[in-house]
This record gives sequence, C-alpha cells and structure tokens, in this order.
Amino acid sequence: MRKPWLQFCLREWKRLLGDYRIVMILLGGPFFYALIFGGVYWQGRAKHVPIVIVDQDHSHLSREITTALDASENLQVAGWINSTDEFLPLVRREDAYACVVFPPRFESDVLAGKKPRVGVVFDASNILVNGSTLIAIRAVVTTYQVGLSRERLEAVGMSPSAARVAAMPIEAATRQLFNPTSNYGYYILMGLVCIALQSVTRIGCGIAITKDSVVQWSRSFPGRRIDYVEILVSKVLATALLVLPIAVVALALPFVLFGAPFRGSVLVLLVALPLFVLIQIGFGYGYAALCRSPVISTQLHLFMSVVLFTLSGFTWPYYAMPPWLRAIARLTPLFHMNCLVRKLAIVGAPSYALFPHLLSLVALSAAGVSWGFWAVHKLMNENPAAGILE
Amino acid sequence: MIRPILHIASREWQWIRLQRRYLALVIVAPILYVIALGIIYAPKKVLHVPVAIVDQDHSRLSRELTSAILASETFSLGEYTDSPDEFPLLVARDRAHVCFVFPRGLERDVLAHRPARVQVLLDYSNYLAGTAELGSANAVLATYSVGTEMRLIEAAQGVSQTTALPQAIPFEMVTRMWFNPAFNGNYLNYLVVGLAYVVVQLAGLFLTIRAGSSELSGHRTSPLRETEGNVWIALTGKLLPYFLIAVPLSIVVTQLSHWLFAAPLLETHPSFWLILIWFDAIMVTLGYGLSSLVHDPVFATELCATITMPNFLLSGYTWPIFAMPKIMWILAYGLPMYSVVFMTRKITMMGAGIADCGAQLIGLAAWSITALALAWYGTKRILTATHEEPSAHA
Repeated sequence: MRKPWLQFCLREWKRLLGDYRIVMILLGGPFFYALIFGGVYWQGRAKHVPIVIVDQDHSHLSREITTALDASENLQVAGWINSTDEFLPLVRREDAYACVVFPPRFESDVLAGKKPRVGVVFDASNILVNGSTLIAIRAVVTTYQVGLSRERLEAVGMSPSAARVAAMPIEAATRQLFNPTSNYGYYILMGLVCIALQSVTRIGCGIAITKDSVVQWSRSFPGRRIDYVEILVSKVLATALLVLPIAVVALALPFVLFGAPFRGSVLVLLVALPLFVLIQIGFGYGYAALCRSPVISTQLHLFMSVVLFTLSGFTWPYYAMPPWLRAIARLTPLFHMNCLVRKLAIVGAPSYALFPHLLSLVALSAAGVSWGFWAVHKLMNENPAAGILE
Repeated sequence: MIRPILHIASREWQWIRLQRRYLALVIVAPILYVIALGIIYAPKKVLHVPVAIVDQDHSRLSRELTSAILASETFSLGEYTDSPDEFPLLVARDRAHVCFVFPRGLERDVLAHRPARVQVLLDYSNYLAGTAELGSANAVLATYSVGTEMRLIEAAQGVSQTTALPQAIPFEMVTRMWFNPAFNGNYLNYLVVGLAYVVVQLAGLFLTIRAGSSELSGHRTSPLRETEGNVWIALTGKLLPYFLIAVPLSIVVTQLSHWLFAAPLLETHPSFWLILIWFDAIMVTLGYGLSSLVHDPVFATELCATITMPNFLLSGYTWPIFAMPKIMWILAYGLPMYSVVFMTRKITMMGAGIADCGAQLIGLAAWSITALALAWYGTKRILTATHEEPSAHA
C-alpha cells in the first residue's frame, strides 16, 4: 500500500495534469513567455538606428564627421536630405530617428574660431531609442570637438602634449560596471521571466483550487478525516514539485539560451526559487478565494502583472520611487525576487548581501502559506459537491 | 431590424447587471492600474540616485566637483568610501549606484597641465537608471572640464574669455527634441500613455469573454430565438451594451494620466478618438468571438493572456521593432497593439494624420476582419444550438 502523502500528491497531479487549461498555463506558460521575451531582446541593443544628414556645408569636416557617425555601431546613416523639413515625414514613417545638421560655412567658421553649431534634431517620442542615439551622436561630436581644440592650441604654439591636456584637462573615465555593453536583454529578461512565473503559477493554482471540494476529497480517500493542513500541504507539495523544475528551466533560459551573464551563487538562487514558488502557490489560492471565480482571479492577475512588475523596481529603479511607495514595493514578493536575481546574476553580489531579500522571501512564504490555508479551507467548503469552477 | 437589436441589447444589459463582480473588476481594475502607474512614474525622471564618493585628493577641486555632483537633482549622497573596490558591495546593499573617484594629485595634475582623470563607476545592472546616471555624470564633469580648459587657455595665451571659448569648444552641438521636449527622460509622459493601452485591450476582451459561452451554458433564460437566424442582428445586439461600456472606459483610462498627473496631451485630433473607438470595437468583438467559439471562459481568458501579455513588448513602443530579430517582426506587426500605439503616437505626438498611418491601418483592418469573422461564426453556432434546443426537448 502506498503511503498517504504519495497518494495525496498523485491525486493532485492527476487533477493538475488532467486539465488542459492548467497544463497550458502552468507548464507551457513559462517557456512560451521566456522564449517570446528572449526573442524580443535577442539583439540586446538598439544598434544601427537610422539617422539622416543635412549637409549644407559639403566640406571635408562635415563629411568626416558623417563618416564617423556612420562608423558608430549604434548609428546608421540612412541618407542625406536637403532640410529638416524633409525629416518629419521620415520620422512618421519610422525611416529615421535623428537628423544631424551641418550649417553652411561650418568648416570655415571652425577654422576662423567663430564657434559654429552642429544641430541634432531627434524624435523624442521613444526614450529608449533617443537616449542611446543621442549618446552615440554626442560621443562622435565630442571626439571631434576635443580633436579640433587640440589642433587649434597646437597651431597657436602649444606643445602637442600640453595641447592634449589643455583640450581635455579633466577626463571622465566612465566605466559601466556589471553590464558594460549596455545590453538591454541581459538586464530585463530575467525580470520578465520572474513576472511570467508569478502570473502563470498564480493563475494555474487559482484554477486548480476552485475545481476541488471536500466531497471530492472524501470520495478519493473514503473514511479519512478531513484535515485541512494535510490537504494544503499535499496540494502545495504536488504543485511545487511540478512547477519548480519548470521554473528552474525557464529562469535558466536567459542565461543558457540568450547568453545573459550569471556571476553569483547558483545555490542562493536555488534557495530563493522554491520560496518564490511557494509564495505564488499560496497567493494563487488566496486570490482565488477572494475572487471566488477562476475567471475573475485570472483576469485580476493579468491586470496586476504590469503594475507589480513596475513596482518591483526592475525597470524603474526603486530608489527613484517615493519612500512610502518603496515601502509598499517591499511587501511584494516580486520586488525581493527581482532584486535578488539581478544582484546575483548581473552584479555578482555575495550571498550575505542578499540576506535581507532571502529573509523577506521567508516571511512572505509564511504569509503565503497562511493565506493559502485560509483559501483552501474556504474554497473546499464553498461548493462541496463539485467545486465552483464555471 | 432595430427593434430585435435593441431587444437583444436590453436582454444583454440585464445579464451584465447581474454580473456585478465581473463588471466591477473590468471597470475598476483599469482605472486603478493607470493611477498606480501614474504614482510610480510621478517623479518623471530617475532622481536622487545614491552616490559613493572616493576622494583620494582632498583638494579644493575635488570638493568643488563633489558639490557640483551632489547639486545635480539626479544624485544624492550615499556615502564616502576609501576605495572603489567597495563599490560592488555598496551596489548589492543598495547604498550606492554611482561612484566618483577623485585620484590623488587630481588638482596638482590639472594645475601642472598634466592629464587628470576622474573615474566614474556606474551600476549598469539597471539599464534605465544607468543611462540616466551616465548622462548626468557626463554633464557635470564636461562643464568642469570645459571651464578648466578655458582657464588654462586664458593663462597660457594671455587671451580673454571670449577668445578662449571658441578654442575650448571649436563648435557646439545643439540638440532639439521634436514632438515633445518634455519627453526627454520623462517616463510619466512617455510610458504611462502607452501602458494605458494594455488595459484598454484587456478591458475590451474581458468584458465579453463570458458573453458567448453563457448562451450555451444554461445561464440564460431566453435564448436568441427572436433573431430568426439573422447572425448580424444577434451579433450587433449582443455587442452593443459592451461597446457602450468599453468606449467611455477607454476614454477615461487613456486620459487619466493627463487629468491626474498632468501628463501632456499634445493633440487630440478627431482621428485619435476614431482609432480608440475602433480599437475598442475590435477588442469587444474579439473577446466575444473567442468566448462563443471556445465556450470555456477560463480557457478563453488564457487565450487572451497569450495574446496580450507579450503584446506591449512586441509592439515596439519601448523596444524598437528594428532591433528585434526579423522572425519576431511577424508577431510585432501582426499583433493589434502595434497598430494602435503607433497610430496614437503619430497622431497625438507627431501631429500626423490618418494618411500617415498606412501600415497601422492595414493592421487594424486585418484584426477587424479576424474578430468579426470569429464573432460571426461563433454567433452562428450559438443560433444553431439555441434553435435546435426546442426540437431536442420535443
């Protein structure tokens, strides 16, 4: 005879795997979203942003700067236009995102020490594109500014070494730590996988719990006393054993398949992930009990996913949020999981620095289990005959 | 023809009124969603990033540079440390995300015309914050570098400030942001407006996600027999009440960030409203179509999740489509979000007209046909089932 815990788990697995909706969301969801998100950010950087040139000078200097702009990995000179008026339709058609303007007599004004201007007009409607585009244009232009300043100082009799120093007396040697290539995919993918894991686990558990009832449980185990702790533990155990391997593989995809770096301890992640899954199972049951309908709870999770992801501070940094909002963010499991995964994978943080996040996940697990217990008790009794699934 | 439509619509309206919890979720959740995002992005820019200062020079120049850095609204003092080696740990503990290192002899080197270097370490584990930090750090240090350069030129050549300036900056770069200067680094203006369409889409779909399946689940008392088999009458009557809920809701949701958080609304051309209403109609029809074909509202909701969850990322609103692999372009251009967000962006920000939105119009038209075809076929199946019901009983 099988041990009762194994029987409980087998019953739960049969229920979970016997429903195509649960299988689809719980087992297929994490892979589907990880692959889609990975595909979107495959390139990692917005390279070769098309720009256009208005060259009213046609000089050696304007052509040289244009060549340098085109040589930049981030930019691509898509063509030349006669005036900025022609730029507007190009932006509207998404054919160009910035326009560099060299005014007439640009080179001769530089030589005459008249300080002419290079104009840059750009589409500011997309912060991600315009930020990297402007940085790339500025890098090229600054190089020429410094080079020309040096040449001018040498021309007035300064020694080359003194001119080099005078042209840039204080150099800012910036070093982008942890993500030196500014790869957007490395940074965002693991956060997106975590929110996908959260949503699909909660949705799947919400559907599963609303299908069950004490009558069905008694039918499965005739003569056995109804013990809600036993029911909860068996449900959580069976679901976690099913979800955890999938969560591990889905979370590994950004690193294994999409090349994101992992610099920290895998062990810490393997401690945090079961806690995160446990919280999601408990919260999934809890929300289902509050909504009392799998449709409403599924819809609620979908409505909440964007807000919770933003609140987790993964994209919009939490240190830029007002203190009271940061306090609310700290109450959400995704905040701690995302902080932990990012610090572990990208920053390579030592385990002791992540202790506060692990501790918070433990506390939230206790909250999740308590909420889950209340939910199981409530839902299993709500419609004793057949569950409340529509 | 009007009477049966109104009759079905009023019957549908009565049923909607009974579904209070569903209605409350679909109406309240999108509003709360926009308010929550508005609050999160209310600071508009990445501000008060904690900074670590490693001052190994202890000179007037290093103190001046520190004051200038801390005077920038982007930075606030995290802590002073002895070595840049401590910075990764400070990042892990959230005590600093940028580190400025002033090496020993910085001021002396500058005064002696020797190259001097300020090291800036940036935490790029968060791309958005890292980019904002990089821009602000460069702005502060470049100002100081040019100022010092001018002083050096003035001293070396004995020239005035006006003569030294063109030598220090031989030519200037002037930037001009088109469409909305306030969009520079302002995430409230940029992102919340786009993210509002995620809930407009969800609300439209979820409003009708049970409308079709309920006809066959025995929840309705009077079936759709009065249509005499006319699919278009049944379809119009069924969708009309949902459409009348979805339109004002989407207007509120898209305008809320403007009303509450003063996000600029550049142009509200009539074509903007036309597209919003058109998008609502597509989503309401699509939700109903899925519901009437799938019959299971849980499964239909899951199908909606499959379409909607990656939809915003794929739309190109944040991550540009040209930076995605070509295989993803099919999904990006194929999903409805691309069409609506780009049309809205072009019309409201770029002052474009419908004529400038050729590709997006094709996208929305294709989704209209798909949604209508699904809804038509689903309604036909419902009508067939409800007409067969009496004979089955007989």
